Amino acid sequence: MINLLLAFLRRDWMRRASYRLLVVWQLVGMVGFLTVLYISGGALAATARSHGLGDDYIAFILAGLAFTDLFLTSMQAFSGTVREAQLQGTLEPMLLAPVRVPELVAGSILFPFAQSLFRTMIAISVAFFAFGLFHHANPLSALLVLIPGIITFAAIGVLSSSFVLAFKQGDPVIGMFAFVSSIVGGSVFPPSLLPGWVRSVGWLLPLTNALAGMRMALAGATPLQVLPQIGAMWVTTLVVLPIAGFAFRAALIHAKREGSLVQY
Amino acid sequence: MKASSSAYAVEVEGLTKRFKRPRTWSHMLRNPPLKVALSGIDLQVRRGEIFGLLGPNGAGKTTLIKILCGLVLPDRGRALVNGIDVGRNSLDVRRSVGVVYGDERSFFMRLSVRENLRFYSRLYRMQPRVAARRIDELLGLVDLEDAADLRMHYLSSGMKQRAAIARGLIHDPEVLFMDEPTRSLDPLGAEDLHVLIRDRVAAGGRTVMLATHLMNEAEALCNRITLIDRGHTVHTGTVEDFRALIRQEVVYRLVFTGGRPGWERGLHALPGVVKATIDSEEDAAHSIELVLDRRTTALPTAIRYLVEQSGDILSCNREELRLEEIFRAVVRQRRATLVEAAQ
Repeated sequence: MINLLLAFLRRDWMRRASYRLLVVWQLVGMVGFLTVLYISGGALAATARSHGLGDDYIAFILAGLAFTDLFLTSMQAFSGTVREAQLQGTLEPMLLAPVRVPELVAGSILFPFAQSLFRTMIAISVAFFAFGLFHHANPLSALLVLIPGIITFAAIGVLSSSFVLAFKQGDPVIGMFAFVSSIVGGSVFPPSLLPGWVRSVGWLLPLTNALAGMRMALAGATPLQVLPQIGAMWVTTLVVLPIAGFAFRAALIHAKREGSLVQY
Repeated sequence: MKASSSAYAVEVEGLTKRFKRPRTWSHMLRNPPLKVALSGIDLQVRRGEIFGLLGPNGAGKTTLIKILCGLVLPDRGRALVNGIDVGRNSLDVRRSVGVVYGDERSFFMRLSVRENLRFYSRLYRMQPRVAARRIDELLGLVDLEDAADLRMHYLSSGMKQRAAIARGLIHDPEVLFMDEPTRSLDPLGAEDLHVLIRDRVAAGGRTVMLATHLMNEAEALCNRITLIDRGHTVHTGTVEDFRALIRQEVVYRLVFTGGRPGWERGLHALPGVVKATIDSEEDAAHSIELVLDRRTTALPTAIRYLVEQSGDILSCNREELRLEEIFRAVVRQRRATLVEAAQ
């Protein structure tokens, strides 16, 4: 299993590294984002304070952006890989190998996830060293939030790839989910600013609980304090995971019946 | 390559597949037209043979291969590969088969040949050291050692096809399916690939099932052939069987000199001689077109007779129908029968 996952990681790294200019621009983009954040951080914090958002708006937005990226990457990576493999003609040779679907999912999301994790770690490090934030963070709580978060989002990604397998384009899951989550999930502004009923919808979304739990963990909350968020995410995981597994299997059977695995 | 206990490498019984082909928006919702891809296909492929699936484009060859490796589900019928039911245990089937596509796009083009093979070796759970040895061995087998570390998109079509063969053999499968492997190759490249398939890929008792619409390819490579037309099996047999199917005679052309007067009459009267056409040349050499009944041993009798007539046989060549002609004749015969039946 480890060899298999490392093979996916190596493949994706080598493909990415072969586009040298892209690698350079991604690094430049990251440095640019952090520089802008560093320069505008003070001003942003002052503005946030004047609007009653408290002193830690920088921490709020940094954690929001960094972890939204991480969670949404877990969600989008698999369906993106399936789509790319359809277009490149590599889906069939991969499905011909004796690889189980969970292995294929794990292998496919590994590299994009590692990339996103790297970006997140850089953002958190900058927050830690440059802005003096997250000094009381509880890593155990953060890990306990991260695990169900990633599993839930990966499961939603599998659900989304079912649409890609069956219908090729027009996947309603990721677009809708990412849009709604980014508005009500608390990525860039607190859900408490939203109308009551929108807020209630927001708490049904895994991103809201994941970000709330992660922010609490970064502020030093103990595992017991983030238990409601962790519990909510595990409940979501237990609901979404079997649905996603069933949907993907059904989509695969549908594509095999229709003979449309290679179509795009 | 691990040998399975089943008598046949591939067994197919009553395999039927129809695809929905919606053409309008209303077809998306109900009753889309159905296209018959396969209709009650039966066939058995013996272990160690190169078996050809021959048929025109759209005959159902690729669908059959995809069903056999678990990428398409049949509507009805049963398919066993190495004794394993494809419908029930496709994971085990996939472990024991390799597939070579004619599609050049099936590789990661930004990676080298070696990196592609390394990735696929991991999908087949090969240990890194074992895989490294196997990759070197396969690169030698398909003559790609010098191009091993080139990115795929720098390779010619022929080289990509060789890489596809190496990938299909990476886990040393018992059965190799090849779907139009020479599709994008020029005649020379195709000929090289034929040599590779015959002398190296099929060596050691590996079963090869080759889908092709090229008669010369089937003729050059296959021990037996199944002819498929519009999803139906038309006939299965050796090239010789196909010849016999449309023509019960066999034609020889002999060049003969000398002979006692009147030898021509005796030749016509020999048992098994259907027809003898003689062209006499100015230099006293006779060109004889001898049409013999395929079921008799008339040729030795005819040769003995000519020698006994105090003549010399300068040459004797068999004139065969090309598989291409046979293919056309068999398909036309079948289609005509279907039209008659429909009327």
